[in-house]
Amino acid sequence: MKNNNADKVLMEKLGSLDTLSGGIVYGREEAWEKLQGRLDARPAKRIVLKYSLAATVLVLLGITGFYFYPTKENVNAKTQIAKSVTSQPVPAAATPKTETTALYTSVNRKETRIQKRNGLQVSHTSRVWDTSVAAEPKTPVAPVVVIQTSPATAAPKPMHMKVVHINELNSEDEPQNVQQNIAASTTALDVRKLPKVHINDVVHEEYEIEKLRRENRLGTGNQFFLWRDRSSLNENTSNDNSTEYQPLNKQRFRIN
Amino acid sequence: MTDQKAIEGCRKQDRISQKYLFDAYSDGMLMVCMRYVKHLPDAEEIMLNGFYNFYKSIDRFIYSHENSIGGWLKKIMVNECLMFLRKAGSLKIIDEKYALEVGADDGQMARMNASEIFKLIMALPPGYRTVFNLFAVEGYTHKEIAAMLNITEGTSKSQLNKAKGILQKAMKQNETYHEK
Repeated sequence: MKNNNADKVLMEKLGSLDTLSGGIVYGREEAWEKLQGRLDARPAKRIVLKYSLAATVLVLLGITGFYFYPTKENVNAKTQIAKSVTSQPVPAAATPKTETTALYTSVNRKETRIQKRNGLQVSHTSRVWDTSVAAEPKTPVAPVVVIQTSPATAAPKPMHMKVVHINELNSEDEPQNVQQNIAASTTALDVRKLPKVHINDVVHEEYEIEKLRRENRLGTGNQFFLWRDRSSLNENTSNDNSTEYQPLNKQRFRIN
Repeated sequence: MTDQKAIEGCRKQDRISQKYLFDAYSDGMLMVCMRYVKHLPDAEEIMLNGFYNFYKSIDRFIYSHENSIGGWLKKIMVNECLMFLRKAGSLKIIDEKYALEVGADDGQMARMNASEIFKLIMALPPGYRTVFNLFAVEGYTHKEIAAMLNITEGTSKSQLNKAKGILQKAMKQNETYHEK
């Protein structure tokens, strides 16, 4: 009870201490100037802080996007290559003729390469950490544009269907794959040993032979024998005992 | 200008109204801060922060009677002082199990004026002073003080009783000094 009364007395006395006690001096006007400055200045500081934070975030996002986001050229090249690869079957007997071309090279260590193999284009994308580029000040590098010598989507014709001129068979510069293909199609026939005949002559001869056969069958036309009869053989060559017919001393070629 | 009009003006960020309230209450609030912090520059800084927060949170303030502004401001100042003391590391109070009861002499208190009591409080160690101010002057309960200072109720009681004991000794010394 005594304590409660003492506390009340103390509370009343100290509560009435609104005026400054002796010895405490402070500049009220100066304090008000300070407070006024804070009231005016703090919002501006906060706005600057917010804008600086936003700018920092944007810069960081930009840098990350520059390093890791795929560029348009890269994506287009990838899709184009993927289409060409899926649409073209790879021939089994084809010998790879490799030609490497850098399609896109950037400073952010991403490199896409295309290898041409017998008219096909195969892409190889790899990441390269180029320290020399990273050490230098980062400037945007224009992508290397490569003019393609052949369309990427052109499908190669199957080799067994290709018409090859007969004169090219023994030539030194004939492609190896063509030679192999011909060898495979003409089984056990040494093509190189055959005499050379122009393709136009072959067609003409075949036509002539057919014409003569027809005339011979019908008994019309000139007296020209495709096959020699026994009688005619006896008449003309009495010493010749061979009874076999002899084909025309001409080469026959069929073109499929 | 009345307090109520000044509050309305402060809501509109009117500098004259703000100045009016500052002039009316700054001295008393500085004394409140001085009871907790002791050093004048720190107390002044805390008082300015308190007024700044008061002007910023003026929309939440409801004017009910004349003393409401003083009470609202005092709460803000006390919170600012406690924050300052926490940051300064002055509120590291060790938990105590036993609270010694000290009987206060009403006659001694009655004979002393407010200014003398204020000086005696200023001489107390920070922990004792804070608990004494919160309990005896501001009127908080031990439970509230324990929550505010992150201590137990027993520690709060012990701190208060020790503070009272020191004050009694100081009063006795003061009386003998005056008698001599």
